[in-house]
Amino acid sequence: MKDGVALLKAAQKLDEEALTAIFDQFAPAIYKYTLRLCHDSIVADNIVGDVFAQLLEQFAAGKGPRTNLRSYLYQTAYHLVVDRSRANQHTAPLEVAVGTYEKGQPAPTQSQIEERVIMEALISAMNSELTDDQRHVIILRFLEDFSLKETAEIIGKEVNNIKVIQNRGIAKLRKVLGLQLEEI
Amino acid sequence: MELDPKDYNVVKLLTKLKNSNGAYPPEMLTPRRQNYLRRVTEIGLGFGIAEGLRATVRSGDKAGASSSITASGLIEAALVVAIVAEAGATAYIYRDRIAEIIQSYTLQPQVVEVTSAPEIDLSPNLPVLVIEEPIDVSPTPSAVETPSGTPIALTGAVNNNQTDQDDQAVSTPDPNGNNGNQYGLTPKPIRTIEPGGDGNNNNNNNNNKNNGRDR
Repeated sequence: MKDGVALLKAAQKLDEEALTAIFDQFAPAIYKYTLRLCHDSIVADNIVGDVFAQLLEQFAAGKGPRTNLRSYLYQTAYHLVVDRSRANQHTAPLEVAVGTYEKGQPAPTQSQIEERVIMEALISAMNSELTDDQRHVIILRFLEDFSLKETAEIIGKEVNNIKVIQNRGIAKLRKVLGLQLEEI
Repeated sequence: MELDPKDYNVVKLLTKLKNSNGAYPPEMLTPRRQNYLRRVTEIGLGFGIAEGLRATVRSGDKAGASSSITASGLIEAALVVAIVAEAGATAYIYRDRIAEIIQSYTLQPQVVEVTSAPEIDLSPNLPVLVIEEPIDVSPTPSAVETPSGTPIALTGAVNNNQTDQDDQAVSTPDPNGNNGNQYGLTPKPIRTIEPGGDGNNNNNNNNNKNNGRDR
């Protein structure tokens, strides 16, 4: 498989193999990220289709990402999610992610049940207690492993601002999950 | 990361959440992938056609560059010659009219339109200045023009020298035999007496003057 730079250059020339490799590499991650944001598997699937359709159009027009393809895809997905959430205030629960969390596992042990309770509380707190910016920053930073700089590029804010948003979000989660965290 | 140590438990939970299974369902992923590959093929085909057209245009430009320059130069020269020939023929056909137009321009008196200044009556109550008739000054003839061919009238010597008396002009005879000295010969004008007035005061001086002149 080609590395990131060679893959990006080949994709800019509309190389079919490179474009297919990009989809196979990033589509599942984009879907998971979008699902965490919009909480709807169908919407997440549609957003994945839109993200890669825009990528193809950009490449065909001689534009598109030049350096960081992964950050570009997440940024596109983020903007699409924001646009859709503005269009229809979607408030579906995040249990989709939790449901898949234990899918296919054998009967849970006591520790697993306790962990599941804490995880559900965490997801609930992320959905209800955090602001949109705090939730996005925490997802990008701790669930998608983006750096502060990449997160700032995706969301369109300064790095220092991202730090503040991240710390406030973490502090709020810790406050909400205070009792559960003591039990870990 | 600059996180508070108390927040590490939250970060550890988030890391566990990251590892949770949120996989793309295959029933969604497969059609999405096929749709994407179809778009890739369409765009790639269109991109290939566009590239082929661009290459054709570029190659056509390079091959026909020199010939197009030559052809354009010839066409430009032919157009200039045609325009000059047409202008010359037109001028020859309408040469009379052109001459008339030129003459009408050159012989036409130039009329300069002068607009009179607007009359502004600034002082309507001012007394009107009446200018009397100017005194007639009889112009002194500086020279008497003699018509050509007319014999010059000469007195004295001329009469003696000329033999043909009929051809000479008759000179004006001297009045009373006085040659130029007319002093005292002018008839005295008749005085006009004003009606109803004897003219005592004013006439004294005049009488004195007249008496002096008579003397």
